Amino acid sequence: MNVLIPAPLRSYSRHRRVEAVGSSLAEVLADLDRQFPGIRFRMINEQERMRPHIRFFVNGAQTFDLSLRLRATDELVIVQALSGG
Amino acid sequence: MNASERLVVELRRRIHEVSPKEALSLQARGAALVDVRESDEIAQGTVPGALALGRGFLELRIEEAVPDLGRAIVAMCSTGLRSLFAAENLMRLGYETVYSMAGGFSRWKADGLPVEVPFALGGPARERYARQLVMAEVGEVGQARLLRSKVLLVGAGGLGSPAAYYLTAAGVGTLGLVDHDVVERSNLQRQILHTDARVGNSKVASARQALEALNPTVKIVGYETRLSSANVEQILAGYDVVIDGSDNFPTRYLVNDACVKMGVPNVHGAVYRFEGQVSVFWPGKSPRAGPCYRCLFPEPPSMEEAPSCTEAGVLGVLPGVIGLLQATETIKLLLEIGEPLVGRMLYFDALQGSFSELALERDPGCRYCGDGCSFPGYIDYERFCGRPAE
Repeated sequence: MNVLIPAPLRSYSRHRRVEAVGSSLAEVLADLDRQFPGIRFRMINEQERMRPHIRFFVNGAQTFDLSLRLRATDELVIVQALSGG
Repeated sequence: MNASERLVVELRRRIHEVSPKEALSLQARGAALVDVRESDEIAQGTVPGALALGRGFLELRIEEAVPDLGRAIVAMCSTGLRSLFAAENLMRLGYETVYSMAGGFSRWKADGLPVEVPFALGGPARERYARQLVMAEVGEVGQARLLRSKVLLVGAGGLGSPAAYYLTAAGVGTLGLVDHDVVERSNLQRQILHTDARVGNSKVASARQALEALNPTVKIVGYETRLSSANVEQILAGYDVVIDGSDNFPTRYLVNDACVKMGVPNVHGAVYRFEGQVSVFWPGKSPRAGPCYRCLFPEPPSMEEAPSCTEAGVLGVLPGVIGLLQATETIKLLLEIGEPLVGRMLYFDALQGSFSELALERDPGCRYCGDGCSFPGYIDYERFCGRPAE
């Protein structure tokens, strides 16, 4: 599926738009980590919780559920809090 | 009987006329009362809630003002003659139920029905705001509302510059500017309020100079201070809308928390490299409350987790795009038109040339705006983020 990586995590992925596979949000994040080692820990903490400055949107709708079932046609947008002004 | 008299007789056969009292009753049931008199006549007084469209541009403006062809319309003029001609044209445009008010505004007043004297703009103001006065969504009533409005801009930098310029140009009556910083040459690539000659001056003073040159009728209130938990409520008090154009997380959370507590909409914008975010955080919006910034991001990241634009850079025009979206949202809020970005975020990617729209959820368990919560107080984030709020 299409995954949009926020700019502050682009040092891992190099690209804004990347492809990842998985039938759940957790699996897609695991696949991202396989491709871009270290990126998952920037989004998910040691307690397996979403970091509070990172949010996930599937087809434009926010989700907090790592077990959310996903289809290959879905689009995942990862959003990070930005401070610049 | 001459030709025009014959035409009036003919129109009276085709157009349903109503008395002023019947017009008032129709208006109360949802009909649009359209005042087709000239602006100098309307300035003397009109019916409360009437759409002051005038006769000259009626056919061009009516669809914006009354987009539903099924909505009943009562045309009103001074004596009930011009409204007959107007009503006929409205029917030809496709409006299904159109009335003409017999006796016009003269009879309305004679019947002792309610009258309001609309706010009247002076000649220079009418000329300055002409392009937005012609739009029914603004008009003289909307312009009067803008002129009475007070908007606080937190930060006179990349986001604050374009927002301040356009709000000043639009005639927002009072613009507050909070910034403790001075103009540096490295600001000038994006902070267009400031100039090379004003490097070293306070940003508030520099901004005031630029904005007063653009529109001297706008009142600029400067706050050359850091926003802090000690002064935030005092500074925000009395403003209708707050625009967050700050450049650090401590200030963003302070602005959010104060806006939640004080019930003020927070027009949020943030930028980084080639990307930007815009939303309106307004838990106090009626009837459907939106999320606050903390519903989306409950806690700020550490410095390591979120590098600033100082370190990562920002495309100079990016805060221009985002700041103007903030100004647009602000004007929509002030005029109560359109669909504000409450519960939605626009994510702009300049390199892709694309916007993503994301639906934001209100968190009923949010510590600041959640159901039944009481305000927990302001939090000093300096120790997390490594720099003070500004």
